[in-house]
Amino acid sequence: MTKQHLQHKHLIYIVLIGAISILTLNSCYKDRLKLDRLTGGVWNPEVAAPLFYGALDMSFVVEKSEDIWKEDPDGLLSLVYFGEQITQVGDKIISIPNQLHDTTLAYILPPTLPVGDSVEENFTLTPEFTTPINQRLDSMLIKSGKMKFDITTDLNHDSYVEIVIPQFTKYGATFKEIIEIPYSGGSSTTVTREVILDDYWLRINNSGSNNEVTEFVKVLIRKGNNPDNSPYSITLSQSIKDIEYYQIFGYFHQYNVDVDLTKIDISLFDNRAIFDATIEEAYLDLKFMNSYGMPIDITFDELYVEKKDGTKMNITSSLLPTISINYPNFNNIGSSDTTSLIFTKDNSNVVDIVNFRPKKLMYSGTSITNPTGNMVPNFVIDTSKISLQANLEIPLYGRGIVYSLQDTMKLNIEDKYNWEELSSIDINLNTVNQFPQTATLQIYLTDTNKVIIDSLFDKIQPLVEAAVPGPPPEYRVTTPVFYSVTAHLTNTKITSLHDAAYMIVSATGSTFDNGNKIIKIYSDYSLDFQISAKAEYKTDY
Amino acid sequence: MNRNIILTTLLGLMITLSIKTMAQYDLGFYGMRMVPQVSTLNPAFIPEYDFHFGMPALSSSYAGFGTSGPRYNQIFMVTPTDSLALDPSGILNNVKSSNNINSRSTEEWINVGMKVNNLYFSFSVSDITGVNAMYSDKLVQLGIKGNAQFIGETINLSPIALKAMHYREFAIGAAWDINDRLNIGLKTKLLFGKAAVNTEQMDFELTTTEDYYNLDITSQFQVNTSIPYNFEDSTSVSWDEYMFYKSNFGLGFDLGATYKIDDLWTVSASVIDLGYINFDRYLKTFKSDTKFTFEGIDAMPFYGLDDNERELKIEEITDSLMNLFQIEESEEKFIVPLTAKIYLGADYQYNDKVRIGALVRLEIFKGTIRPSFTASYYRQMSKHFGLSASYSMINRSYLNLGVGIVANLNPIQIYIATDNIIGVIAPESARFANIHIGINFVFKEDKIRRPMIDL
Repeated sequence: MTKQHLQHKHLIYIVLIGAISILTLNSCYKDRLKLDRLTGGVWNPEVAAPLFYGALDMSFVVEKSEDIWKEDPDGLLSLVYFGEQITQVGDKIISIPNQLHDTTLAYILPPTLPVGDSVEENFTLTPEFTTPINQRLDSMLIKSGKMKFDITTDLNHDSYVEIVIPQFTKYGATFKEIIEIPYSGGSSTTVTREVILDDYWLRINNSGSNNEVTEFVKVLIRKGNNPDNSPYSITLSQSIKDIEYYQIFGYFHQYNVDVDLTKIDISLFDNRAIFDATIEEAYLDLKFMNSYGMPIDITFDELYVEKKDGTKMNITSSLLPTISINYPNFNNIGSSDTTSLIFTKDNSNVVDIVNFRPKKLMYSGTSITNPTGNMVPNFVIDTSKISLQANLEIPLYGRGIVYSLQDTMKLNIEDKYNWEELSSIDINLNTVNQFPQTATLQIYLTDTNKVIIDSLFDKIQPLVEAAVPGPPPEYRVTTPVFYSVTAHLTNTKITSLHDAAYMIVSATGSTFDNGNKIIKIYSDYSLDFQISAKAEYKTDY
Repeated sequence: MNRNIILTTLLGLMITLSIKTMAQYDLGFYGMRMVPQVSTLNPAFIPEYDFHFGMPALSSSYAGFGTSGPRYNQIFMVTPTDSLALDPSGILNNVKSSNNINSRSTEEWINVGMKVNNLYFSFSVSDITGVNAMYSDKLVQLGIKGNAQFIGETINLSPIALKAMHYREFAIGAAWDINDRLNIGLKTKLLFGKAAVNTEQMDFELTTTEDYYNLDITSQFQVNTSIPYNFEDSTSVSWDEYMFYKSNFGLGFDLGATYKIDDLWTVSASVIDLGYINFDRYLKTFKSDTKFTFEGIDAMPFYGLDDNERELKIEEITDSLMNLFQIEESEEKFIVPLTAKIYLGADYQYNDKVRIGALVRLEIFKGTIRPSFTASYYRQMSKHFGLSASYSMINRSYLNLGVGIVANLNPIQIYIATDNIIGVIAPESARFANIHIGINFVFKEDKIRRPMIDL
């Protein structure tokens, strides 16, 4: 074997050894590193992070509230409950009946009247304008209506009738209507004319005991070739129908105008949220806005509050039961005059009413026009009405306010989160509270039948500590209170939360010093809160 | 938590760090002077050949990884069911305040060298990929145990650094045998970057306040990237374009010298990878310089929202949370310095066959110096075989025994070396492992001329 052959043999050995070593190592690596058997591991971090924060100030509450709020100049907030009832409008109460008046005029042609000439005769009529209860009518501006003339005559010659009514004017022009009566044969001739009365002013003569309208009727006859059959008659049947007015003046006697039963919901005591409270002040403001131009008295038939269970309490006051309301004068036609009555703790039992914790306030009444019967000038316009607004104003000023809020929410915790891998959570709630109120919380977990299966916290969690109110009369909190609380949730509780179908959130609270001290809620109060959590997570991956 | 995501991420990280590598150690290899590629560690080394060339693509293949943090078997544990699972305790117990993890692979496509008088010229083309990273124990503790352990504290997550590059190197070297004692060498490298991710600055501070668990975050970072991949539409450049485009130019130098004190003692020194690559293509730079406090989510806007509105609100908030970091995205050219290495060696020629050496290697990364020390033994077993053994202290690991073999089977030369044989055999127990193999064709003067003499 040559030296070169020996070297080649060595080379083959080395290559073979190298190849075997690499294969062995590769196989060995797989076995040693076990990468094909990598299954993951356990990750068990504990993470702390802030979750949510917010400032629950009264402006937010007011903005999100469905109630009406009022802020006094010093910032004291009040809840306002409002209701309004409007009577029927004026032209539905004082209506003008249809008028009907028939007159027959007799006439004899002059015997010497040559054929082709004409002759005229004038009549004055004073038909009565009737009213339902003999009201005195002075004038009215007609919105709509019509006047109809039916003329029947036995004249065998052409003629016409001219009717002038000076008391009817439109834009300054006097009512004047000429009705031609052509003879076309036969024993009698009938002609009908209808006139629209829209926008006519009607001034009625009531110097006597009746309402009268003076009409001037002129009859003109043109003698034809037919024989003279005098005496002739002309029957004038006139009617005024469907009168509606813009304005009407006179004296309308006594009418009853009903204020229907009206309800004002009071949500403050809804859902048994507040189950104890002593409100220190309340106001019931009844505001009448009358656009009838005449004296009106209103008598409340019913004025009471009612609880959810139906028990009632009447509102009593020295201002009740009958109230004379103001009315506009002739210079303020179309406007309303306002009468405001404010029921306070000094003139009524309104504070007792609020502390009765009603759910609604009910009222109804009857009004009567010209209650004294004294004849004073009245007016009514087509939109005349009486609006009765009732405002129950409850300042957030009281003591012993103990409340409980309870709400049931459907849980929809998605399975994509592995809740069971949360070993525990410490939820921290930090609050800086300016409200003189405490709050506690418990969350109950229920099954699909809403049967409680667990509670989230081992005990009722205090959430907020009440701030200390200042001295009277402001009772204003000047220093907010910091409070921090930690709720520990075990894995068992977290799993219960995941498995539950509903959760019932039950929060309770009371005003400062268990409700023994008076507090006021101002608009600049706020509750700053921050929720953070420290969670231990354990997962196999 | 999605198991697949975690496993994929961890495996991806490990594979990336163990296969694509940056810090080439070659500690024992430094003494294997029969191999021409030893000039990659000190360009003043002159092989004892007149001419050599490497087997294309097989002349030098290096792969190695190292970590000063937990080892594989400290990261993973074998469960009672003989499966493999991450071992958080093992990781936490073995992480230090500052840890590095690095890996590098070098694939030499061409290597050729020739002796001309007292000079030995060489030329090589290589692809080098590598990752060099630093991380702190706080970062690991935060990731594994969460931030609850740091409530009331401010933690600085530094150091955090990452340099990952793939580049092609065209190296032209010359070693000059000045006299019987002194050799000097210089290698100039033309570099063409392929892809890079480099952190200019990574400073993070996190405070978890005691009362509200508010998170005070200071974030100052700049990450420069040159990646020929569009993450928005998931498109990338073609393989040809990636492998052969000529932009991202850089320049590097290796300097070295050897000095023979006497017949027994020789000292050597080199500085490797002095240089940079200027990346100017496929750029993305991400910057942040912000300080903010996350106090949670404002709950009030959620009031009264329905489910859809709530979802939209959450999306809006998620976007705004990301915006807290104020990450600016831009396209900026950037320069990545090479990771410079300094080798200081001393050899003692014990007898004709045995040489004993000592080597100090210093690696400079992001302003920090990572030292290692190696003692080596080289024995020329025969005319054709050399054997090297080494002991190294590196990456806080003090039991690294290396071996190397070189066989000159004229003209074929085969070599293989590792600095930690345990790392090769049992990589799970090693903080450091590498292997360097290659095949050359080497020609000594007598062999070249012999055919002519024969004629």
